[in-house]
Amino acid sequence: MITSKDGFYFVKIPYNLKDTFKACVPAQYRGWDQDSKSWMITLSGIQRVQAFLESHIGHVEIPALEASNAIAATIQKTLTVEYIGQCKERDGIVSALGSVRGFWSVEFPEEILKSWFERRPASDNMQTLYHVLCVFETATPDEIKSAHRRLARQWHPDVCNEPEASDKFRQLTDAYDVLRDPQKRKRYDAGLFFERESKKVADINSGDFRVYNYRTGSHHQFQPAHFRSPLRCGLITAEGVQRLNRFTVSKILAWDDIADGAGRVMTASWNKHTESIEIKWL
Amino acid sequence: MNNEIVYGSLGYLEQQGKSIAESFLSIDAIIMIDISMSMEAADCQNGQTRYQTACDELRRLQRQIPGKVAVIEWADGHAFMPGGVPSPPYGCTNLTGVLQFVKQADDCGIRFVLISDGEPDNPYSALDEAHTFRSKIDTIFCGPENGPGADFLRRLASLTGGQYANNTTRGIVELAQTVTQLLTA
Repeated sequence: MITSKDGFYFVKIPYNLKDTFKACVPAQYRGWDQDSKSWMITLSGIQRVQAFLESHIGHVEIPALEASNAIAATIQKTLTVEYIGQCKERDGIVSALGSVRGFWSVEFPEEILKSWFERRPASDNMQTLYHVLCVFETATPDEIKSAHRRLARQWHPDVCNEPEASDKFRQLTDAYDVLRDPQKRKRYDAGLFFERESKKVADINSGDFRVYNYRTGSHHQFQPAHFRSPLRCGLITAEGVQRLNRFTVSKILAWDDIADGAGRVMTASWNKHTESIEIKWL
Repeated sequence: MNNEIVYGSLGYLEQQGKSIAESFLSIDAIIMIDISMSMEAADCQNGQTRYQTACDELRRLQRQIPGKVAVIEWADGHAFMPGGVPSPPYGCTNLTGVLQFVKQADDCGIRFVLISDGEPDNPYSALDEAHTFRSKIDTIFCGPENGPGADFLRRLASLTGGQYANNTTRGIVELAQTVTQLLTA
């Protein structure tokens, strides 16, 4: 039932125990190996597997771990990611999983996704129209136009079947209406400047650097919900580490559209009430 | 720091869910209100100080035209006041500093209204700074009759193509009306 190869254990688990196994052995210790139809387990996770097997199946012998010649080095990959899920806490790490050819084989740590899309210093908690369109505040009109086009394609209610599609699409349209118009954008930028200044003053006067909330008249620490990638799919070039059949991204280098031979671009959405990801080509 | 949030101010709209930056898309004017120590003079109606009277007028103005003005206080320093009323008076009159601050909003269809009861510390530097503005700067003098500063404010307004209004201390009570008239002129 347990074998070892290339520095990993390989364990076959009866299908009916799959969910219990996953609950007992956290994701950081395991990865699904499609070729051998078994779970790859790290050295540090084998004791959990042993405990699981002994309580559900019976005593098992753990073979000596066959040494690996592979070094977990940072590599660069271009991946056709068909869908990226919600960031969730997985064994102490907040990350989103990406599906490639039907397997959740790419892991995006939340901070990597955030820094790619939000394009702002971590100290700046203000949500702006630039964040809605995922562009820098220094973005050129062409960059704004193309960002809007790409996101609008993802979130158009006729295409996207996720429940928040209409709201997201309206936000995108509102943001674009302001940022596409040089005069409105200039006004909005001035407003951002004064808004930031007023919050700075409030913080200095109160002697702390939390955010002063004029809505409630009080200070509060931001505790936002986990980040969700505004683009659900893409041809992503990234650096990361391949481990346990999962590529953990450490830096996103490029995020292009997935296009077919006819020049159509892929969009993906997933309504919780449906079984699978819905892919459309536009 | 004055944490009061008056009805119709940008801080009030923020409480209703509209960010300050978004509110800037629909404001008509930025009001720069002088809060130097001379605004403590109690020479207004009912023995009120110029500062108290100006605050009452700013409350009235924002109630009348909600979301249409941003208030910026200035003395030694300067600050944007989302709540719509300035801090109690302090220090002297560094007009150049506040003009450099509000320059961020120059040339985007927003008018500037400068309210002061006297002459700034460095009038020449302030006039030089005002000269760089593409938008008009309207000025309202609210000091004592024949007091210093009226000529200066008139000059600053004409330099930028703005209008000058003389309210004098008695007239501070009509500040809201004067501002509204300037904005609709």
